[in-house]
Amino acid sequence: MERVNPDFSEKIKKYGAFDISACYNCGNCTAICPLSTEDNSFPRKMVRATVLGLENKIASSLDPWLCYYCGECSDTCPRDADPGGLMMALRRYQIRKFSVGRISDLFYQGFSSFWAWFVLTLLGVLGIFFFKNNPDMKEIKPLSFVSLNVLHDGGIILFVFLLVVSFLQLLLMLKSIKLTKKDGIGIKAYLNSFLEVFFNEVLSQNKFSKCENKKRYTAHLLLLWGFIGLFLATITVMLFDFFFPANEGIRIIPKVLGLISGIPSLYGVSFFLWYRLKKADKYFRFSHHTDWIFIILIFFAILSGYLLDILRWSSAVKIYYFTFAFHLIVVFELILTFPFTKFAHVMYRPFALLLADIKK
Amino acid sequence: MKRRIGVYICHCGGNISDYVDVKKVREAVKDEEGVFLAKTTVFACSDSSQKEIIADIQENNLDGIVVASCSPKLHLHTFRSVAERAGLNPYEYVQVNIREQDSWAHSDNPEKATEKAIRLIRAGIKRAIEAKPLTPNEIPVINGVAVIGGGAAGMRAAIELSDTGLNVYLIEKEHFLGGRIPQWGELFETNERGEVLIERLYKEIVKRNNIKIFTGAEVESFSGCVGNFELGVRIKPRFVKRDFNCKDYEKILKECPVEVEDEFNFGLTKRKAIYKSYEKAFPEIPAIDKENCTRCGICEKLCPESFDFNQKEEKLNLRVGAVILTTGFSPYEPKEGEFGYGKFNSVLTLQQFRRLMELSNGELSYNSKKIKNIAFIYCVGSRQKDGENKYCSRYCCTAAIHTSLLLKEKYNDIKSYHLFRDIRTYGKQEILYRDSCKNGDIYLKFDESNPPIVEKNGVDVSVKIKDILTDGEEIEIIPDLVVLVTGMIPRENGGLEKIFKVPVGRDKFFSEIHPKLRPVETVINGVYIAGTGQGPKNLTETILSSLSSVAKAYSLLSSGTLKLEPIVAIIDEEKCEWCGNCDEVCVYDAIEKKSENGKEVAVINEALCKGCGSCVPVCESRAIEIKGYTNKEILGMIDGILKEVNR
Repeated sequence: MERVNPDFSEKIKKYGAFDISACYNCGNCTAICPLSTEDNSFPRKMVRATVLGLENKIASSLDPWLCYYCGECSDTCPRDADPGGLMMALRRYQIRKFSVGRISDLFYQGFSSFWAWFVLTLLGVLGIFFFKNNPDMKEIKPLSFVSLNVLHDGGIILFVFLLVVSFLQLLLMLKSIKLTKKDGIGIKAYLNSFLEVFFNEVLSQNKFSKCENKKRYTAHLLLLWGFIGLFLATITVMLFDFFFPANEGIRIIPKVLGLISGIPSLYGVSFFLWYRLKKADKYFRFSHHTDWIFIILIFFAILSGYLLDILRWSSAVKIYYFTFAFHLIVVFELILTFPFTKFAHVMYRPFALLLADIKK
Repeated sequence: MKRRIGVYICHCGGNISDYVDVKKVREAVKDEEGVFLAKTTVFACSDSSQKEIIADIQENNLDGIVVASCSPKLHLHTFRSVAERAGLNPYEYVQVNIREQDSWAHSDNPEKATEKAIRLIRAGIKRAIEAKPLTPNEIPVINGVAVIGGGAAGMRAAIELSDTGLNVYLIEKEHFLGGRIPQWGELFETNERGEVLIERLYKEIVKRNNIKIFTGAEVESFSGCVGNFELGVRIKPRFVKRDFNCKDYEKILKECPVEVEDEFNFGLTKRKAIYKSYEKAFPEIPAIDKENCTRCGICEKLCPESFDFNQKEEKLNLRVGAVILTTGFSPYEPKEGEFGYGKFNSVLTLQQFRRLMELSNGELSYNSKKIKNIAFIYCVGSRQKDGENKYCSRYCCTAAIHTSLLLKEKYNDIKSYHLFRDIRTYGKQEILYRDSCKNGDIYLKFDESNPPIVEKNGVDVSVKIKDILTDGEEIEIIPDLVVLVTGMIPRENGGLEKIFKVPVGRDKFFSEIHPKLRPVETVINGVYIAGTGQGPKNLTETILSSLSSVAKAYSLLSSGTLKLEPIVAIIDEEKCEWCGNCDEVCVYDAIEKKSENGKEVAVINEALCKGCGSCVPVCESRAIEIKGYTNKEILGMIDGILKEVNR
């Protein structure tokens, strides 16, 4: 038995669900939702749990991650309670809730989040000054600006940090979700679920495509693929520099990959940035500052990364190094804050889909 | 003398003629004895047909007409007026129903339907032959209406009646007017205070000379007939003079040694034997509670001019033309232990809670505990599957929700939990429900078979509910106060239903004749009902019904005389042997025993008789008949029906 906690819905308001108490339980949201199924009916259940303040129920639910905020529920809601907005808010709430050692509090609490970002950016800028070499000003040679060792070691440190924190957070999520014994199944089934989710959900964004409004789905899919392409391009550049420093010919591969991937990712990220700025749709009416940080960082990371690829062909040496420094700082921040901002959905959503698949 | 009767057979545009062969019917009845002419017509009720019938009557000197068409419920009066316009007596017209009772009922068998039509019309013709002209009885009526119950409905009715020129006697059982409305504080939708509305009504009432107010007055007897009623009224002494003017009233209030439960505050406070129901109660002079006063004399000593303990109970007779019963409601009182009522300190009814709000100043606390969380439990004593109260009181949902809105407005930090079965905030009241949701009030829904459980939890009270909206999960609330949202029951009225012989329903509220079409009339002609004494209503609906009862009373009395339906029982004094059988079965008390030429006979009070006919079959000497349904007419009809029909 749980006790009613009326303060909870006040708390959730800080994450973006402002009108949820207007709900009168008609259930239209669940009826219209293209993603809600009989075994997994949302958003009504989550709305109810929020209104009553049943925090345990919310912390142990995968539902927030099964929602893609099509917004059809919010359009249909007779009380304008914006159930889609609530699901979004609950995702923010869970990201914060599952964070290790409450680091995420730094990024979620008003003024402290400002300082956290200030310090982080300062660290990035100082790092560049500290580790930069004397760059070759005649010809663009990225590794003459920052040495390969610095990039390599720094990269490894960041990725280890990222992996450890992400792993711990997913573990926290797993613990909160409370898989029952019944759900505990063999490796093979896990693998099957994993393949199913990876191909049918992550890569194809199948569920997202069920939303009536396809614009967001298309932009998101392009951004996702473009981002993966850019990410692979970056990794291969680094790997080639490390393993085949002499082989110039092979470098055409990441360059082409980067140039091709840049176009869809730039389109995708610009779409979201523009819609959020304009508040074009109900779904973009409210942006939490962790959303902004994520979208702005990823926008600049992609933009600067793409510029770097283009600038490599030019002779604008100074601009190149400047852009390179900027890119490094942005990527540094992006990676470091991955588990705490909207960026974290990249791990939570597939993991939640996986768990939901296993539960099924 | 040979009769000249006109017979009209209506097609009803196919409704009849599609199944009944009207031509064949005409052939079969046109040569019946007494029939002068027989016609078929597409719509007998149409203007042109009516004109044709009138012309026929006048040109041919017809002395009776029969129209075979639809139910008399629809067109009896239409054709009676046709007869009247043509110079016949309206009762020389006979309607035969060959639609509802024939063509519609036997659409599967046209042949038999045609035969039945012939038989019915022949019966009608026989009846027309025997029919006698009748004239309505006209009696003078008394220009006066007694309104019983001085709450909002009664006060509003009194004002309106007075404006129509009728004399009004406003009779209130308590010493003060206003009824339940002043107990409520702010009312929903307008947010006006109940006592302010009552003040407005009272000021209008005292402006009018033709309204007489009786407080502390109860009706003891009721007799007479519509237009001429007599009421026996008993008036309790108030012991306070009308020109009460006592500077030491405050001091008297302090020194009066008697303390009794204050019914106005539902027992939350005590009052003295000298009291006003509330500070600005009307009439503005206090009253002394005869039952509890110890006659200690303190008040008389301080203000000798203002009191008169020699006042005695008064009795008076009022003669009125009509009566409006506006006896109002009482809140349902939960049983001991029902949701912890009477068992735990922190369980109140909504009505008590509203008084608590009114009595609170600045901070809302009860039993010196500050109130932060309130659980409202809905439908207490309403919509019971097993209990007595099956009905919904329809005001309580809105009242509870409005209360929570007021709490939010006044105290902001109070949290309201609504434990409901269904929310019935119909019409504009829905906006209040929406506002309450937006305020963050929490709604939990329970099923009647699984009501919330109120129990002790340490010092606090805990409320557990299986919330339907959360998959029936059990959810717990720890409120500072549990408020039981109770409905309405009829207010105790000293057995008025027996005195007036007005029936009450299973719910014990007064019953109207027809809930939709005749909502303020009772089976007693001239006795009307309005307000919550008839059934649960909010104030808007109460006033609506109060005004419609005024319209009914006015239309009854406005002409000064009353035309009574002439279809009443008639006694043949020669035959009557006074056995009393008729008096026994008459539900309208219309039969009296009278000595006539040294012989005891029954006499019909035509003003009371409804012509129901109950008395006719019980009369062993066949001395009673009903005008318009005489034995001759009925026997003639039977002959008409039984006559063979040639195929």
